[in-house]
Amino acid sequence: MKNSIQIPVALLALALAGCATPTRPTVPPPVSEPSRSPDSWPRSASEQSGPAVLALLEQAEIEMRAGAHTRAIAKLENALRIESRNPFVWQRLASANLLEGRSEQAESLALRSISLARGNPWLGLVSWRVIAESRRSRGDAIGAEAAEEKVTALEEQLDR
Amino acid sequence: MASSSSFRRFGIGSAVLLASLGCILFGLYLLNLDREVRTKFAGARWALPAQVYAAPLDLYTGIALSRDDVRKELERLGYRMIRKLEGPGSFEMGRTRIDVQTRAFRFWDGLQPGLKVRLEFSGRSVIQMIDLDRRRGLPLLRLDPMLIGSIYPTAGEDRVLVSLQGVPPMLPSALIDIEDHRFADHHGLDLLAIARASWANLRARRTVQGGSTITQQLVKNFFLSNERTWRRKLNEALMALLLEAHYAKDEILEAYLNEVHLGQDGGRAIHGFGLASQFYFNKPLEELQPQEIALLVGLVKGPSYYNPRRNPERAKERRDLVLGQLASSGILGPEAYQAALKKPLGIAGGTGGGIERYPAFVDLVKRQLRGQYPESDLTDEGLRIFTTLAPRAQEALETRLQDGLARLEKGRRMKPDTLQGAGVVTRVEGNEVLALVGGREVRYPGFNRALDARRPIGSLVKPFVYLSALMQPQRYNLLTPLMDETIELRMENGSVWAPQNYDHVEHGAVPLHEALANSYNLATVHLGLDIGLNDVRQILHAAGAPGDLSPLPSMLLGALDLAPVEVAGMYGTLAASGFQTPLTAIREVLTREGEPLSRYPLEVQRVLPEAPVYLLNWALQEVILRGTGASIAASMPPDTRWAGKTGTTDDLRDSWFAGYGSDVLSLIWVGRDDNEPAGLTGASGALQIWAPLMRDLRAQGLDPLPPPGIDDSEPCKVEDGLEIPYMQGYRPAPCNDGKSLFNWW
Repeated sequence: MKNSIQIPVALLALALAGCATPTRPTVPPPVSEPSRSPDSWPRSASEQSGPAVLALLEQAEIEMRAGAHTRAIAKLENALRIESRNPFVWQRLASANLLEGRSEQAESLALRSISLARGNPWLGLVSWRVIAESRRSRGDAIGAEAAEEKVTALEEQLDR
Repeated sequence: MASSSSFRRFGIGSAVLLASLGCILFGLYLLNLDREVRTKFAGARWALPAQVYAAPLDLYTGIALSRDDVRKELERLGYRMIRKLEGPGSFEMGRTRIDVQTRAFRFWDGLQPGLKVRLEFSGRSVIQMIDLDRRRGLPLLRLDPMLIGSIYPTAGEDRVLVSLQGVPPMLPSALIDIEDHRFADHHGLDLLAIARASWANLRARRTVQGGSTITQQLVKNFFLSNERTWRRKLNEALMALLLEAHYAKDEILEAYLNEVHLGQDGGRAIHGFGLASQFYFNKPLEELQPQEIALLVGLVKGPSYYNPRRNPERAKERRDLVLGQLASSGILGPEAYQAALKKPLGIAGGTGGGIERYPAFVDLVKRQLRGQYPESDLTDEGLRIFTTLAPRAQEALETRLQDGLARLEKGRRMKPDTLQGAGVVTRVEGNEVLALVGGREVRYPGFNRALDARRPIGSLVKPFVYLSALMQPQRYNLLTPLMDETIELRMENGSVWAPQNYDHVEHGAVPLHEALANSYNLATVHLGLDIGLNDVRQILHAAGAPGDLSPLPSMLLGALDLAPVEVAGMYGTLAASGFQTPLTAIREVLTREGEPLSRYPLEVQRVLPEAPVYLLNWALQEVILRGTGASIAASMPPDTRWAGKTGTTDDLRDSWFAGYGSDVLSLIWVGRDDNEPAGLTGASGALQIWAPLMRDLRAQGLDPLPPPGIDDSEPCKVEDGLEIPYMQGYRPAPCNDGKSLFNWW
């Protein structure tokens, strides 16, 4: 049942995200994490980040609230140099880029977050929302809808 | 009588006329000089070369740096180790701690104040950081970045501007005391000094003393040529008077501090005390000690004659003489005088101290900037360029490359300096260049092999051939048997291409991952032809291969010429799981005043699908575990995994290795400039430099993370206990219960 939603979504996502990929690969759908309950995944960055990265995330948050998106992005990039595989940082960077109007970057960064999140549905949810919004802002209605479906599926998974 | 009186009248009249004319001409001349003085002095006085900084070091709880590592980092920045903190740029060492007083620094995101911080260590990591003034924990400490170079015009002047308020008070007093002790009282000329100098020179029948004031010296350097004529002398005197008439003493002194010539570094002239402090002592001017100030002040008399690097004894004699005079004038107290005398010269190592140490990297920075800024902006506007260079990584790369090449030559009884090499270290996420070496003479700004030596990449191309296959999971998986057997191809021009394996043996049917790990040529050619040359070419381009690649069969074995940075970029795409970021050496550019001008944000794009790249990266780990790179497996930290690939070209002309863990990627090339055989394979040459380099960098091993699309629910085990990853829906047939592959075949 789950696959029936995920197959078209994943293929569409891949087809859209991988426009630069020369030979369109036929990659099967993503593996879901059926066994793990949503509560066992870290929901916030504080559960998965060191103090330096947390401090930078906080500073970035303050900059964001002040509308200083570029400065926030700089802080987040600094955090990435410290914990380069922290999916929460990639995710925040995606959101910040979206607010800054860099929608293609936002989507790529969100995809990187998803690929490092090891299937964490909480992170996936936020990242797919970013992807949906960035596609919509580029006028890509079909792509946005596909991402929305992904969001709905994750919401259902998390509601259970 | 009448005629004689009218003649006299006429004479006086003409004299008056002539005198008036002379006065008018002189007046005009003076006006002209005056305009020249004022225009030049009031405007932008100097063309200011851009200053290039390394990346600042971030210290935080948990960072894998030992107490000695941090000490080295601080020393590299010119921090001085002392018993008790005594101001910015100093630190004290305890048994398991370092207390440091950092320098304030204006970064892209604002001024960072100097802090007093205690760093506590346990073994190889920082376990706590405390802000000593506020008595509370500190999550992150950003040190001031190292000044690594400047972009000055060819054979031009280089300088770092200082203000009179920003210099140690002893410097202007010492300068006045030594060079012009009536500076405060004269109006540009010191007649007494001139008379005394003339008398001394007359007696000695040569120039032994100068009577020039600081103002005259400034005028000479600033407005006039170096010729020795009466006219220039006259101009100098007039302009000195004019300068004094228009400007305050402080302004003149400040200009002098920035103008004076204090040394030469090849084609680069070192001007001003700000740069001289970096050039000779590798630290900012405000941190100089009395003996260091004395040395610089002493240099004014003859920067070449008293060059402390070339003539250390002469320089010390001059320094001590200056110290003596400062003591007798009371500028230096008797105790400080005695203490200063005992100090060594303290000149920073290397030709350029903290400057011009990394010419290959700065070359890359310049090239990236030249696309965006006109040359004059770079050499004149005093821009501040913040780069990605990590001095510690750079040092490790330089040392390993130089030592490695020397050891390879010795081991093979080659003449010293036969081999050349180049290396690049990048950060996996973000693709920032951390270190770059363009040849074994690392301080020599010559041919930059890392950027410009385009050589055949040999087997480094193979991963992209195999990736093209793995992107077709319905046809290929890691266990798909490939035929490693002789092949002959007739080319369009009628010639026959008949590649061979390195060991000249055909290996028959080999699983795909083994063919890659052992770098079998024949299997690769069969595979590449099967997939299609155009598909392989597209993957190469997607990964970042530049230029127009001809889809010829020889491309499958690496008959394409690329520069080390270009190959590093392509491998960077694999290391980052198919996400690509343009190779970058610059983070931010600021104006002279510290205002942000441009920023280079992280740009990521997914160019290769993750799941096949994951499979490829698994196979590339086999290279080091069991394949052509196995010789170094034991020398890497236990239980770590690395992905990499050896590359060797025809007749052993080029030896390559590209490899990565989860955080950094290093690429090494070894070969000869004359393109003669170097006698090295990728494994016997470049890999022998790569492995110790990665250890020095404290690189983190891979942390393989199966992406969506990889099925890890049912492990595929084959003999030898190998667990083969595969794409969901495409479980390889022979992976049931460790059955032998050969039974299956």
